[in-house]
Amino acid sequence: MKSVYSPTKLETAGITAVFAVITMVAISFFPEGWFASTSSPMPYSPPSSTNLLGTNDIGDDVLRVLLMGSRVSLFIGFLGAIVSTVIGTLVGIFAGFMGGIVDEVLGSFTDLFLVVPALPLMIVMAAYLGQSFLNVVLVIGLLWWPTTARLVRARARQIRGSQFVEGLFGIGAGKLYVVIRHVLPNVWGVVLARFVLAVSSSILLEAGLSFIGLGDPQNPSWGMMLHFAMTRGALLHGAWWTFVPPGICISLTSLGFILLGMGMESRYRSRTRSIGEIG
Amino acid sequence: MMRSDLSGHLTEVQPSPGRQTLIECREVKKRFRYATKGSFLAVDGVSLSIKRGELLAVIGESGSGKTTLAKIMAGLIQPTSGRVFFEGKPITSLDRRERLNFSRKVQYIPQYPDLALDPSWYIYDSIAEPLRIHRMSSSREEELKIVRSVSARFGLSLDQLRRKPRDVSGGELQRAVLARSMALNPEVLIADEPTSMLDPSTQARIVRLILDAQRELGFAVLFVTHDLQLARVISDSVCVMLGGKIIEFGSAQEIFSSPLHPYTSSLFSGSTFAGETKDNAACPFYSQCNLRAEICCNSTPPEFNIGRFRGVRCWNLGQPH
Amino acid sequence: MGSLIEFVDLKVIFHMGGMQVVALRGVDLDLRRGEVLGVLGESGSGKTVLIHAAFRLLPENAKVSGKILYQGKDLLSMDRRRAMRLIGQNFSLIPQGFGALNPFLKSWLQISERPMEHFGVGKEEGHRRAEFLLGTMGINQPSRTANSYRHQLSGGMLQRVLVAMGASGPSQVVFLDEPTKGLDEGMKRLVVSLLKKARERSDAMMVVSHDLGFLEEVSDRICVMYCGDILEVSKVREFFVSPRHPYSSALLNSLPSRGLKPIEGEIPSMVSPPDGCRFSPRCRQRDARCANKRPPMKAVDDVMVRCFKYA
Repeated sequence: MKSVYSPTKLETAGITAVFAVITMVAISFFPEGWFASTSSPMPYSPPSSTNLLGTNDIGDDVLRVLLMGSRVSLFIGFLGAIVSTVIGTLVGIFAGFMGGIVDEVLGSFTDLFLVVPALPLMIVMAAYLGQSFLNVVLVIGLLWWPTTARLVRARARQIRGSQFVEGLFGIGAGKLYVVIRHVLPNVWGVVLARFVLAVSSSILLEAGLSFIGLGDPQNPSWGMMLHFAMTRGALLHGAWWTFVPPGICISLTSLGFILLGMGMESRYRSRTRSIGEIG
Repeated sequence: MMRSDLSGHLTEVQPSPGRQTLIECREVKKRFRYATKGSFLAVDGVSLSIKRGELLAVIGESGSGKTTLAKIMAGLIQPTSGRVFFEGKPITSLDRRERLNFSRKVQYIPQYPDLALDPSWYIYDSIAEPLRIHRMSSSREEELKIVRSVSARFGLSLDQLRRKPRDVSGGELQRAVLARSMALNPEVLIADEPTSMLDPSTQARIVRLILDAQRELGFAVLFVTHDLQLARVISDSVCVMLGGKIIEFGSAQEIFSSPLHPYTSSLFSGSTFAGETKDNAACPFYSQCNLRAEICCNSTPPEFNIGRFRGVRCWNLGQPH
Repeated sequence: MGSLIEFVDLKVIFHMGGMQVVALRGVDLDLRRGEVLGVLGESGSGKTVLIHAAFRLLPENAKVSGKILYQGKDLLSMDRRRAMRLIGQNFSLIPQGFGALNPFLKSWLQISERPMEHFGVGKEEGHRRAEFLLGTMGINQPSRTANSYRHQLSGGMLQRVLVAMGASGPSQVVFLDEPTKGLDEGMKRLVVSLLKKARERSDAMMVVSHDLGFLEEVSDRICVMYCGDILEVSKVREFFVSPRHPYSSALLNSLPSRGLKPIEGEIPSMVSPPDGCRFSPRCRQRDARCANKRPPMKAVDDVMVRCFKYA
């Protein structure tokens, strides 16, 4: 029996939001005149027919900055998610599959990262490493893996204990072979769902870091826009168009990825619940 | 008198002297430690050998250690003490090639077919996997040929091979598991209650398939079961396990026609209940035995050998009545 | 002997994403006062659905038609709350496997849950009853068992707790779902002896199983199910000596003691079962009629058979 993919309402909402962001990124690659006027009139001019979302403190078109920021935010989101998921998956699989002392060491290491409050540590790290695009990615990646690692570890342990793995050793399969060919495909669902969720978290984290001024000023993201609006008096001017659009974008994007990830996770759970329950 | 009867009987059913021992375990013990505290001696000093081409049934109730013994013989569990020999060599000291050879020639089939194959793999790939691990097919075409022939033997169609484990029935799955181990052309098949979770007609089919394949290919089978009727019908020789020990062994015909150990006879007559009593008597059957004496509580009965292939662990047989 | 429960033309169809699965294909069966009825069927025969239907436990996507008459009242058409009260007060279920026991509740609470829920039995009385019941089942220290959790008890103890659960209240009908699945011989004998005790406390029992030997020992009548259809209903001795339906004899012959002859072919998929007689594709005695028409139920000397051989 093959089931046709039929998303739930929440998943549909998530997918729509994600597609909207991807469309924004796509538009940002069009020639500039296409979506915004390049002329720079007055700073803080309200939305008009030439500047759809008005201009900011230095007279830049907000829509243009917003679209360019979508690139940065999404890129950092994905890159951070990739780094954290890769680390989390590797640690989780090794801890769960090897068991014993490896599991204990990696497990306490994971727990250590889990109990340390991430945001303050990130602030310290980001301040120490300096303001650059890669550093932000690195900070997010290094601090966001423990939850993934725990979930993957639990799943890998379950697979390790299941009969088919025992049988595989019985027919002469090596450990590495089993990990790559059997454990990975079976944790794949968890990893994918965690990845999507991690994209959302890293977009949020990046926004947080940038907002307090630890982002990369060369590549302004949505968080950076908020930062500038905050520090350069947009609030005093009542120039709402400079901070409301990035705020909405950040919320919708992370919400979209969260909904998608949660949908994937529950789908995966309901599909694999039966494994390991017997015996 | 009884014994002389038996030994007279023995000469006809004795295994032919040339029969080669494939796997043998000597004085194997396995102790499982619980995570919290305490431990459990699942297998308590078992010596057993599987000879080429025979079907040896291990009978026992749950908790008797039969599954642990089967896994030890298959090399899946390391015994706490004692050693397992494969073709005369201890399996712990096999080098990489010999180890691979062992894992090809000795196949293990678990009790629950639904967990025996990777749920994310197609059944075809699972059957072909041992061939790939052991590099037994030079090309995809050859692999397909082998998989098809071995699957056909177990009545699996190509359509069924294209499915995943959750899309086929328990019986089909168990046949796929069988096909998978048969693809390697093994010399020993260790089947751990392969049919206890299946429907009666499916059970009959699986057992028939194993027997037919055995007749044709000549591998040895260690068949672990709690089904006495089944063991009676299919096996050449039988071991009866209780409390981690083999308390009686012999040819199937002898064991079923004249059981010597009180436990075996009560098992056949249906007068035992689930073993509730866990006391520290030396003989595991002590608390339920009608013939018990003081010696049974204090010292473990040794294996009294009667004839060349018959042994009983019971003091009543070691002493003149 | 009057009948206690009567299944009249009971049909259950599951709707699963556009597909229809006919789990019961018009079942007519009666459970008589004082008897143990064994329902024999392999996986996918619909035997468990039968029990679930009687307890109104079927999921939302099941379409049920027909009647289940208990004391002349139809449990299916009755208002749900009234039906549940009637079921709770008169039926009890001994579930399959120890997974049915809540790991977080002491065993006496689970044993006395039904009398406490439906008969206003107090906590202390419930505790006392549970201990008493466990005592009658041959447990040496019933109070210790009663105060234990699932993981503290051995298999034999748990088996007793399960049966005690079914026998705790005054119930007219006790249903058992696959009580011997995965159990070894000694455990099966324990279940048999426990059932004999439970039988004294109820008016009738219905035991669902695929274990022929077990049903032979415990039941008075046997009802053979295959793919949602009843193929044969007969007295237990009659059934094991001279089974009428070809499926029944094939099933008996698949036992190790009777030759270990497997039935050809597969148990058909419930999504696309064969037309006509469900067993016809595997039947050695089939003829042209079998594949097209569902054979009628016919009485042949006290035995009800659904086969054209007797029509």
